[in-house]
Amino acid sequence: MNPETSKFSAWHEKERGKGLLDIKFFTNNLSNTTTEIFSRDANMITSSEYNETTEFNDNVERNPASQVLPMLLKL
Amino acid sequence: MSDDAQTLQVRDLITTTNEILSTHEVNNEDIPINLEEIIRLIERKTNAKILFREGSWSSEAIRGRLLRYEHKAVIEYASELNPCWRRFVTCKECCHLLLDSETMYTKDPVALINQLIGGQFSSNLEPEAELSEYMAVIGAIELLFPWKYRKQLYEKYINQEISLYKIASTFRIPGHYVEIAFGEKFIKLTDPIHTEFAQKK
Repeated sequence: MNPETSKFSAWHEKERGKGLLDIKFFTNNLSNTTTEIFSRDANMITSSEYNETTEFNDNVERNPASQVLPMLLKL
Repeated sequence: MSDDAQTLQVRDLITTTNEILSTHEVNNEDIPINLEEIIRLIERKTNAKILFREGSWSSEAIRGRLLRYEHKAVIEYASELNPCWRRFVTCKECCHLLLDSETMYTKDPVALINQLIGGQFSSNLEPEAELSEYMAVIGAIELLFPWKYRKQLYEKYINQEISLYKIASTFRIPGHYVEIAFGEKFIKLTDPIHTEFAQKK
């Protein structure tokens, strides 16, 4: 196992000890990716600085469908 | 998985997503769909507090990650994602919380990575992992681009009277998933179920 994957695996084991039940990834195009690169990026997520919130900030403008749809259908 | 088993799974999924969309909190009479309220309902249904981590990382391989613990979950995404991708990544990861059974949990993440990397020409994922990914994407499309709007816009799209970009930017989801939603496979899988449910109303 390459060092990045070993590091990721060790982190995962540690998290399992803290009660981690499942891990999922939303992947991008993986055509130029190797297991080592993927693991490196997973480790980068773990070690990067982040802003943690309890609310998802869905900062998009919403309008009534009764206004939006007629405009779209008229296009 | 047989076609019949897949249809049953999608039927359950649509029942769940319809239930969420029909609550007054979500108010699916607004466009784009209110993801904040969807998340609150998923927290209530799953009895898990969801935390969001917007990180200063950049990856060509990974757009987001879900960590599920017993009473909490963490959804991580890169700060560089635009609002459409941020919404879709978050919603898809929430759908894992909503839809996955314990058999779909990742026990060996290194094996999962190897399967993901090895599956460039065809899916190489274990059946349970593949089903989990497949259902979570369908769930996110159902929630963020509901059928009642898809059916109204489909003909315009097919007749090239409205662009994929216009629809995607209105619903604030990536264009790739509007394309999937208007694809033959997705329509064949979901349309008969929605039509049946609509007739029963």
